[in-house]
Amino acid sequence: MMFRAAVVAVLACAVPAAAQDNPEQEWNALPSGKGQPPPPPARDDILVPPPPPSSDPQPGAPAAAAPASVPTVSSPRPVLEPNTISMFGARSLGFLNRGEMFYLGFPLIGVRFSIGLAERFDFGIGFDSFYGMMNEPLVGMRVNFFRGTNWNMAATLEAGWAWFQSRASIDLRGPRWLTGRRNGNIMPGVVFSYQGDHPRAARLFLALQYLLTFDTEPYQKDPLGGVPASVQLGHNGQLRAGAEMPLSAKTSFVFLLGLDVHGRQPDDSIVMPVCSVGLVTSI
Amino acid sequence: MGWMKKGLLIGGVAMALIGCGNNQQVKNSSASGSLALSNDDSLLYAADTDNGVVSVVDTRTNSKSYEVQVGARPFKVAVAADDTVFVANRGSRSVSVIRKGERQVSAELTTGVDPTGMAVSFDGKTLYVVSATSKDNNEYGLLQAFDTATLEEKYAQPLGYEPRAIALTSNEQALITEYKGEDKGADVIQVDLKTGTTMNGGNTGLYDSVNFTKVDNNGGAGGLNFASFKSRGQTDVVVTPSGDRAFVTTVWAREDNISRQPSSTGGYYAAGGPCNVGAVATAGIVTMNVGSNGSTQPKVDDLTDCASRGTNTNTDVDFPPTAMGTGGVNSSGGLSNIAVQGPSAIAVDPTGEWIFVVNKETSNVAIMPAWRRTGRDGESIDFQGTGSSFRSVVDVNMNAALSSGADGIALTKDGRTAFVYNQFDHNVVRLGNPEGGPMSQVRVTATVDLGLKDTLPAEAAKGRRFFFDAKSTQMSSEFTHVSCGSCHLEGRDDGHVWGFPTKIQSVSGQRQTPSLVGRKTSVTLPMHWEGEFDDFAEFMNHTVVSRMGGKQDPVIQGQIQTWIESQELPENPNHHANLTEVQLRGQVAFMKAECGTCHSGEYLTDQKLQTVSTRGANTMGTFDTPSLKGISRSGPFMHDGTVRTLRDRVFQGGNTHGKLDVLTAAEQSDLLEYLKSL
Repeated sequence: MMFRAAVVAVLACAVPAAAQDNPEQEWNALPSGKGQPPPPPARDDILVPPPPPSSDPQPGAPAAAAPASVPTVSSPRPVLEPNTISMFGARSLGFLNRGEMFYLGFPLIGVRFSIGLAERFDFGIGFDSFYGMMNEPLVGMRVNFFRGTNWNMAATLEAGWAWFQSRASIDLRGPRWLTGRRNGNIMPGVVFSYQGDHPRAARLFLALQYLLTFDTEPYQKDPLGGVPASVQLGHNGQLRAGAEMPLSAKTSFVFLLGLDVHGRQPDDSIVMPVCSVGLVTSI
Repeated sequence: MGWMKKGLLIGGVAMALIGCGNNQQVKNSSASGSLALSNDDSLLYAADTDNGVVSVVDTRTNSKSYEVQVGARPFKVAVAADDTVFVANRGSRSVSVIRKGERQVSAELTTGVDPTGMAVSFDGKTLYVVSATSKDNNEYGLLQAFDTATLEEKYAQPLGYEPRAIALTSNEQALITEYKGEDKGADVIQVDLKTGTTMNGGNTGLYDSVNFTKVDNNGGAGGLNFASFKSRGQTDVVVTPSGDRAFVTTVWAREDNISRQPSSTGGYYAAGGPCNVGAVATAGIVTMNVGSNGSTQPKVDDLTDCASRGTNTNTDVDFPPTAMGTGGVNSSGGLSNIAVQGPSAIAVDPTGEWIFVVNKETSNVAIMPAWRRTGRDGESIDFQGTGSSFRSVVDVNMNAALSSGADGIALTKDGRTAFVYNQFDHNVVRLGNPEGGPMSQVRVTATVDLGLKDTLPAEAAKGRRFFFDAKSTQMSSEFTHVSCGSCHLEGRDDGHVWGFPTKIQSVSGQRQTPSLVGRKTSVTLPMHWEGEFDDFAEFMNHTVVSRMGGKQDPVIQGQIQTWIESQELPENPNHHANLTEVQLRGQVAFMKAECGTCHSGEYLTDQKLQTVSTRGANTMGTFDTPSLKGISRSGPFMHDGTVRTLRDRVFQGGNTHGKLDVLTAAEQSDLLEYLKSL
């Protein structure tokens, strides 16, 4: 049900933008009175419209006749600045651009703050929480390997150290079981994203992550069953899909669905669905 | 896969930089009581109380390598970081020191009387010894600190009343249990190890915590309708390796009156355990949380009100049940029959997840999680049914019908093996869990006979086994599980005042547990405070059959009496071969106050009923004159326990129970010294 709703939501935002190949072309065109062709649309450039001709005479000044070659526009629409601030997708922020994000969902809530240290390299910090029962500060990076007109691909890496409210031995169906995370967590991954040509086109993303966990609180499960190694590794896979749906040039609504596959049984759930909503912005 | 290797390498470096989190350093020994292991777990040291030796067992071959003669009645073993072995000798008021590799005692440390608690500091530099009384005064206990290298005494501090066991929560602080306790029963004393002084007023408020509803007056009728319980018999304390939690063994004793009457169908003592779990005397575990500043708080069930905060319905707690099951109604509606009684030692595994409770009177080891009372997936922990959270209860006695006297345990550092010492069987039992998995049970994997024999006469040795047997149906019903030793701790008393029905009161009256040892029951008859029983067999028939639910067996009764009469008085620092000058003056005062009129003869009893009053109740009653032998360590005093200390008894004065008012203050002081010497 939730998945269906997400698909509908994603398509609802993505399809209209894709269907109109360049719906704003007419508005983006410069006045053609001098026969100049309009500049080609460039997604990365900020489209600056010409100042609209004023139809009102200036007070105290003689009314000037409007140039016959400039069409009169009574209420011009501004040219939309495309949204390029992505935190979940593969598109990097760009040199010294910043991005912030928070999300709320199951099983985690979290925040991220990133900055572009190079055009294609972002570095960030963040914090994930299982509603207070697990709290994990993180550092992360994203390297954009491929940047096309619509497609992007990036490699990501997040690493964090989590603190749990409960001992592992009594955390039967708690944050460890639900998230697969342990004290130390390293998540390398790859993410693909697609964004249509419209400046407000939704940015669809698909991420695959490997979660390597370091359990520094292993416990003896059975009496006289032996003391476990002081650090135990866990191997997990994570799939994330969703969309960043721009609300403005710098802010997007995020919808995310995912599935975690956990490698530690019976300590962890075998699979765990993931869903989140959030906001991505740049302040 | 190269990136994965790099990732692992980076992770490894990161873990190294942050110290790998929980390093599971074992700061506290995973051994207790009469057993301890060498630091490499290759040697097991077992103190045999009867024979006065420490047997050294090769744990790889499960065979005895040699033995070392130590002091009299060795009771407790501790091993320092340099593998020096310390043995506390209750009978010789000393600690024997055995240096690594040596097969004889290299030194003897002089302790207080009845050294029962021992611990080595985390840095290995200091040995702490707790004795039941000081070297020269039986009114208080003693804590000593010794330099483990020079064996010099660093300090000796008076400490509480009948302290028993010690465990360190840090290098600076320790917890010490009380064996008997005072008005509110036994508590746990927190001690500053730098000075040996008591912290936080000397108690943790344990009584108020386990009787919360009654104390808090939330129970209606002033809370008086609720059963309440006192802790006593706190034989041991253990602290988790992380130092944040301690566990204390105890036997809860019901405090309020018990309305049920003894009957020939037996099992009277089965009535009224905490939350319908256990008997009037029920084994239990006191959990103590240790804060980062060392403060200690009880984390226990409210035994007075199971409905609101108690044990039987509340599974969402992170500590073991405060009362351990000895009966109760299980989830199927039937009676559970998990016999656990007389906890004598406790250990926690190296990861701090499992606690192992050695039960002397049921000859088993109860194993339960330290941080939960519900089972993980597939685990057979039936807290709802039994009131306990046992994962395994392992019998360790060779003869299921006889107590083995288990009183020591040691766990190896790999968390795979436990050893238990059977004091009466003179053997070591090896425990393991070779199957593993959530349904697996700990079981005996080997037994090592140490080749030692009973030093008691055969009949007395058998009597001892029955005296401390709460599992044999000869002694108590299968749903009672109490032994004589459940209340007569070590054959003495438990410092408790019971609300049992009495002969002269149709309803329950307050009756203090009298000490048995050293008083020659056969020549100090009649028995019971009202002198109801003119011979031992009659007394045993009533107690064993009508109260404990056992069977009438003259042979066993005779064996028990033989053992009781073979026992000496408790160790007493104020008892000398000849009375001192002040004690002689006290003896004169004793006669002047006419104490000796009734407390006469070798055992200081005329064996008659006398009408006297107690200072507390100030009412007259007719009672059997008890023997005053060993009185100084048998408080509280009077039949109803209304006088807490011998000092109070003497200085309260009065002429309705002896004529104390005729004595001067100096004579009263002398009298006190005389009584302390008995």
